[in-house]
Amino acid sequence: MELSQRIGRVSRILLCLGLLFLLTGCGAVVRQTIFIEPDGSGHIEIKGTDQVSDINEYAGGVEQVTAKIQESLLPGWSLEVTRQGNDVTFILRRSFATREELTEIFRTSMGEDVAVDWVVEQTPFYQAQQLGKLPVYQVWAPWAVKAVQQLTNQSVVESVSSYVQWPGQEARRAQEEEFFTQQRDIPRLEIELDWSPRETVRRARLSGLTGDDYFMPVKEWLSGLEGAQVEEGTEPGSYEVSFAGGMAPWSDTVPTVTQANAFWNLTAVTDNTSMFVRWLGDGVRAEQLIYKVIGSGYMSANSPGEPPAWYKWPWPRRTTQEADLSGIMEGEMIVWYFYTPRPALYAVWGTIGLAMAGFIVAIPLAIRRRDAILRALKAGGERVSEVVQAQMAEGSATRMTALSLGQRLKALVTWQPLPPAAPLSQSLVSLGLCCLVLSAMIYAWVRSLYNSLISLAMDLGAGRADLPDLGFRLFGWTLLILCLSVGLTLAVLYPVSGRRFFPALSSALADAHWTTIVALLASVVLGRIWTPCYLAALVGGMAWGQAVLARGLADSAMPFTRRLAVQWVAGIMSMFAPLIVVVLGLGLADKLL
Amino acid sequence: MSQVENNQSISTQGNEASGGRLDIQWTEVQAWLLQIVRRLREVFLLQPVTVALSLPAAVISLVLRALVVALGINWLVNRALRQAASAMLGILAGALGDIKINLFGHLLIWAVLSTAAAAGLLYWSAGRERLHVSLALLSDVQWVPVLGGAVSVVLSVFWWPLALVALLMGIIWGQVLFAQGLDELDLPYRRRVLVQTATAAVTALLFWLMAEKAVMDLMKYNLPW
Repeated sequence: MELSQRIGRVSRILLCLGLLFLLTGCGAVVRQTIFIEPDGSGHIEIKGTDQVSDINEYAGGVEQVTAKIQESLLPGWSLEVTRQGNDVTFILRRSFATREELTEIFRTSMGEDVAVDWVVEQTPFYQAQQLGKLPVYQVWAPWAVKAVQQLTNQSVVESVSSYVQWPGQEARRAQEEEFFTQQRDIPRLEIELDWSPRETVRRARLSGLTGDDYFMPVKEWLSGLEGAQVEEGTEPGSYEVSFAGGMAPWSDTVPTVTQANAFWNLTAVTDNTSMFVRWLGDGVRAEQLIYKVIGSGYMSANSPGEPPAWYKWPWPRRTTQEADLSGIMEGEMIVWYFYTPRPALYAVWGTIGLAMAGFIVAIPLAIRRRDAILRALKAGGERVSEVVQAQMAEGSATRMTALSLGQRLKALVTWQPLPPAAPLSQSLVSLGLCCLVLSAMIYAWVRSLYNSLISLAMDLGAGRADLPDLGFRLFGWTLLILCLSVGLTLAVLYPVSGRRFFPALSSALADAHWTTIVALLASVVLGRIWTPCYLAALVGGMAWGQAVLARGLADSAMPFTRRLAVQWVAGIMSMFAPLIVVVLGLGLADKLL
Repeated sequence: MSQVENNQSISTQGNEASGGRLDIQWTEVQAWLLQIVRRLREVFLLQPVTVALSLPAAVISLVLRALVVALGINWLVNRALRQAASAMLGILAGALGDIKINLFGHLLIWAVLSTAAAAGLLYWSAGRERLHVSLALLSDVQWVPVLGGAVSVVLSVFWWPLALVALLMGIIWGQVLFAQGLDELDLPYRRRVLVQTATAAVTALLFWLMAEKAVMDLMKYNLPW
């Protein structure tokens, strides 16, 4: 896929957050979508749908809710209300021109304490930025929620109890039990709290803690609570926590931010763990399921049994909007990309590209000039200026090597008869350059493959933040492995070819390596045009390399059987040397570490 | 003109006496087959090639090679399929003993087409008068990987990397022979490289297309197992 297409596709990722939103005292589905164009502009769309009858019952009617939201709208936001049958949809929109403005919207709309974290992924060609872990609750428009809440005049307990009393609750509970029964492999923490809205938390029982990793943080956390006494329960992995004098005052029916934080912190402690919280109160039995999933676990955990959609999200109780809920939704937060060009890197790569282009142009000119000088020298040297003669006399080894190498590569690529075998030093330089170019090509290919896998994982629901970045170190490791494998190949070939033919062998091997690079490039280019050309170009390139190698060895007057042996060994080593180097390297690392 | 070419010119004189009329005697066929066997023996034993192939003998050799390749790859595919099924299905492997797909037709078409393409390239580059030499060279080049493949199959019983090495050696051997043979044909350097590269590329391209077609055909019709 072209980068531009990728940009267009990714930037229009639909960020659908299927949330149960207690907009009017009962469930409303809120969906937030952020559209981002490649230039960083776009708009936010928050769409909440509820039933008219529910709004009439709990919030005094659609018109009143509309007026209240309209009144509370922050600058830049617009409201659109549509009705269809018994459903009413509130759509809030806000445009932004740049990523910075989007960040500012988060801050102004959701509160200054919102930590908007942009994770930067750097690649040689672009910079991808994504929104880091951002609690979903804070992405909602809480000011709109507050505005609507003022209309409901209901206590939290009543709101929750009204939810519990929904039709079909018993059936859902049965599904819930069945779901957790099936998911035995997923660690589960169950907390039961006895509490009274007018008193305090009296007792907490935690069970289902099956590993030391979970034990200690939870125990420490519990022990740190004011007035808490922690005892091990009768069942393995369970704790009894009693609170002398109460854990903390519960203001009327609303848990405080501190207490809410405690639960969310506990959720963070039990990372990747489902958490089932039962609230036991005076005449009210409310249940809240917090099912925290990260990455692909989300898919695997939810596919069997198909639990109800509301299991995927914590029930957003009204009281929690003021609490710090960070940590709950991380991993479920859908992320998006900004692809922005990196001027500095463009400059670097542009310079390299220009240098290469200059090299390609300059080498033939230099070769021509050198030939002219040589002809002039041969003719007597009268027409050669002193400056040129001095240059010829002082011609550095590096410059001459570069000239010869360029001449050789030009002849190779244009299928001209190759010059006689290059000196060993030049062949080694050529092989080193081959390794460098091949490493860059392999890195680019792996990078492309990895990005495709990331796109696939994100399509499956994984968060970008959970996927490790493929650093630039891969290039270095590839270069090291290739250099070592070429060295190993030469070392193995030395006894096969013998000292006499080794320079010719090195030269021919370098030529063959360059044909591989050209074949790989041709494979990529032609394969894009017509897929079967991938294989054709690769196989053709291999044959070309073998022809070049055979020709180079034949020119060295090497006997046929030895030539054949050299080509056999070279071919086998080209295939297995990187593998041998990797295996040896891993073995050495294992021994040293 | 190389020594091989001289020998070949002499040995083909007798075949031109029929005046263009197709009058093939069994003894002639026997002679051609004998030529093929003797030449392949020299090639396989890495000896200098002294046995020349007449034009009919070279054609017969190429046709035989196409048949062997088609049969061999078809057998290998079926063997690999049975092994894969056995590995996947464990105890049910016994019930899959008759698993079989027929790719012989597709493979034969591929082998014939790729050989014809290579022969066409050689005809274009070496000329009509040296066609029999070119085809003899092509025969050598194509038979050597077959030997590598056969050794590879045997070695695969012991350790799969050995099989890969044997196959690779066969392919490289063929390429070395091809380069050597094109060199002896006194072709310009660029044409030599072009013929060798294009032959491999066309073979791979046709293989891809034929494999694609075989898969499509197998999916279109009921798999014959």
